[in-house]
Amino acid sequence: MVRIKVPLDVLTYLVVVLGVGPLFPWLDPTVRVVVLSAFIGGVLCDMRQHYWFGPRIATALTILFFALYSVQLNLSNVVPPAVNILVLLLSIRLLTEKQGRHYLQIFVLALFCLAGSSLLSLNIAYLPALILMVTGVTIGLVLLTFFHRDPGLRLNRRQLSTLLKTAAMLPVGSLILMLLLFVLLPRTQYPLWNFLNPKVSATTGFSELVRPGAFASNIADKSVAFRAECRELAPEDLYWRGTVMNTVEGTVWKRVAPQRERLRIVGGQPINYTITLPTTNDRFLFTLDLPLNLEGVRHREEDDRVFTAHRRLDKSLTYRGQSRLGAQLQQESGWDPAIYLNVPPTLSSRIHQVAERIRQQTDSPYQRMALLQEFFRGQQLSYADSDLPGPSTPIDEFLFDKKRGYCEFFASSFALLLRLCEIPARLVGGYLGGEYNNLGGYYLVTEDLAHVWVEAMIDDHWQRIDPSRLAVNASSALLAPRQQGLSLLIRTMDNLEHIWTRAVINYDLRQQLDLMRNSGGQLRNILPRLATLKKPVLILLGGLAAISLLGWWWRQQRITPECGLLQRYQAAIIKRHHLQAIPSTSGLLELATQLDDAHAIMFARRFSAVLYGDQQITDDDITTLNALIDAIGSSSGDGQAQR
Amino acid sequence: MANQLTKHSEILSVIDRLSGRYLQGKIRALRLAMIALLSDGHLLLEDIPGLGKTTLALALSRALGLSFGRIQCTSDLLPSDITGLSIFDRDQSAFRFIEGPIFNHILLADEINRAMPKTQSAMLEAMEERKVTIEGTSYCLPQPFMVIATQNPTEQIGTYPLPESQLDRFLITTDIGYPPPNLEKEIIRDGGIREKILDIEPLLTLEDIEQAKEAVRSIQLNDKLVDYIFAIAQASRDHRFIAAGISTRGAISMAAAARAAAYLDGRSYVIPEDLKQIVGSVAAHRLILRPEHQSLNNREVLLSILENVPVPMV
Repeated sequence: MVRIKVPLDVLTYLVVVLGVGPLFPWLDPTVRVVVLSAFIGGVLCDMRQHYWFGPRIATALTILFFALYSVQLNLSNVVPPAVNILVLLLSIRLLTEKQGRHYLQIFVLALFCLAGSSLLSLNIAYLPALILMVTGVTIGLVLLTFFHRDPGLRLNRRQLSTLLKTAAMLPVGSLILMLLLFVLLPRTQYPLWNFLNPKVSATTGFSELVRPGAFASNIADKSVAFRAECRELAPEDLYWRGTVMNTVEGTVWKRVAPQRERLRIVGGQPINYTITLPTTNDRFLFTLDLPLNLEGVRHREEDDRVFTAHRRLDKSLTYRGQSRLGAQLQQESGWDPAIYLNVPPTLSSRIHQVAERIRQQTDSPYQRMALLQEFFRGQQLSYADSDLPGPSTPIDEFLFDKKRGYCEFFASSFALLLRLCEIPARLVGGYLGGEYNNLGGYYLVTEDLAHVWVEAMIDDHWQRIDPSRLAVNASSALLAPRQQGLSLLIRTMDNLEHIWTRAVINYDLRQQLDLMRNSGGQLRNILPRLATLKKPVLILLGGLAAISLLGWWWRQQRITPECGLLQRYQAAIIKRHHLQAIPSTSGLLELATQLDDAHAIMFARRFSAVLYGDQQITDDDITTLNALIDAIGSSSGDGQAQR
Repeated sequence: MANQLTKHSEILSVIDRLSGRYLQGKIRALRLAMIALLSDGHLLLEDIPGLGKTTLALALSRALGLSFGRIQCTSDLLPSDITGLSIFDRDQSAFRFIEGPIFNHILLADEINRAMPKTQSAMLEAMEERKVTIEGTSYCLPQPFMVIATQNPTEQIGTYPLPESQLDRFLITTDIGYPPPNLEKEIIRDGGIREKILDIEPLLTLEDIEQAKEAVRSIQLNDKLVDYIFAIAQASRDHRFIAAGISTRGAISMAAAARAAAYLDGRSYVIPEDLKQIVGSVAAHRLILRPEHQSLNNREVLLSILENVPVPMV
């Protein structure tokens, strides 16, 4: 049989060692001696059940130690005196008799000591100490509940081991959870459950390569590409720029770092927007064509208006952008267009013949482009996601045999023909369209809106051409799916998700501070204008103040003196007799008699005459009654004596 | 204020004298009896025999200088045994009316529930009308007139319990209760006080009583209190345990009794505490509980109603 106090004491001393141990090297030498001797003394005292000093001396010593060290406390020297005081308090607690709350005090002080040690140094010993401390304190608390119930409780060996095992489940469980929640989960790169839905087939979406013919079909993917907060725009303006592919190798278009080019953006109307990207694990920062600049994210800006983040976007991100709608990129003269005129050698003769014919008809790039567009229309090409041209000669097959394909086919064949007609051309990848959510005031852009179009250099201007619009079914197959409109439910749900992403996941203190600073600046701009409004505003304010004063006075008039007296009396009674509330069903005299309060009884008698006696209340009454209320408030249990 | 409460001190002195010397431990019943007298009502004492019901009635009538009549109700008691009857006077060759015991200021009707319903109803009618009509001639009862009826609540065999409509005619119903232990021991040691009661000198005149009743009628009943009485009556009518709540007569009786209680307390106006003090005695016997709640005590139900009606303040 073991007394419950024994394991409790053992745990308590263990906790003290864990708490004071990491702090020990930082203590004053005298305090070290004190705490060591207190520890040994405490163990001896507990064994003999005889304590050297009682609570009075303990309190006196506590005050003494506190006074000694508090004089050392100042702003530049906070922690060392504080931890010394903590350890001394703990020493005193160890040496005195221990009841339930004293154990609790010891646990708390030991925890504080351990926490204090982290302020002085944070070495590797802190973690095991903390884990052991949590374990010890939790088990100790369980034992303490038993001890508190019956200090003389005795348990046999089996009961004790069951109790300890059960108590140990608490800290062990919580430590495992802690490990999972705070150590493992935040360090995973991807959502944990992603392995449940691996990618099985090619889906539409943005990609940094254009490979027409790589897949036989495409599956629409409705997942969110990004959300852009801005005003509602015309559908033909919704070209979201991602990347520019300037080089073609075989059938694959890709991006090589462009040479330094001197470009200017001309024309267009400015627009500001805020884009929230989900986790993409990519670098591209989408912008509304044509972008001027971005802020809110560290990024690299290239001359062909492609923005990339410095790091991979492994978490959700919000940034602000500024663009010009309908602007053009102007290339200053003296540059080398060779890179934009390269064509692969494997193009079929039919394609070369088309280009040859156009080249011979005219020299003007404008007319050449018009002829090319005419050729596209004449081919009766249709926009489709299935039964696509094969991978060997996709462009030839697309233009002359199958005559069906999606944007990559249109854009890459058009760009190649432009290049063959000696017009510099490149592909731009991004998204076209977006569903405007008027609840949240943003465009929702999904992966199935991914799009590729062409930029051609004519007259030193890069011009946007979307060859997909030349398909015979462009309005039904290309544009219509991008303007379906969303149901209210979807809009609401998506809006909630957007708010959550913006307000919680992407919360950025600096952005909020910027916002505050901006609004402060705007306020300062407004204030000078306010000064001119001073006089009418002052008159208005004065009028409002007068009205509210009148209202207050009227209310005061409406509160009868009886009402005021009753409220004062009830408040005084509640305070004096520590009542919760005055029951509305007890009469004045009844309550006063129950409370046995002489002043209250006098008040009740006098006030009843006023309330129920149909006499007008006089100033004399008010004075007397107020005096009685004061007497109730100030009397301290002498009600009986004065009666 | 003092001049309004005419004869207040005299009335109080009667209560003091009686409760101090003769009717120790019965001050509550005595006060209620006085309230009934001052507000022109009647009193029903419900208690087991031998707790001093008769003594109370007797002492009260002696001290007030009022005449006293007594009927022991039995199942063969006839209405004429109470009201009196005309007999033929041979000397004058005419019918002469012999007054029954009802022609007294205070009538003690013992064990009223033993009388036949016919007899009960004759008496209760006289209580209400304050006159007796026999063979076409009406005879007025003396003023003041108060019936103190008693009934034994525990004995049910061979009784005709008063119907609720008759109970409504009593202003106040109360029990007397056992005296406190010390007092009871003293009573046991000294024996009964019936003889001593005969020595009580009248402390008041009929004139005094009339003036006091007048003063009670002039006691102020503020509108707030009227509202309060109405709220209690209304709450009793809406209560889910109660089939029939406090009637309008019940509410009038509450007001009258509350005035008398305020008078005895030396106030010229009624306060809610007066009502709370008398409501159990005045209103409880007027409630008719639903059959499924018959086992409940009327008085407790009424007190639970009071717990839900706020006292008017300002």
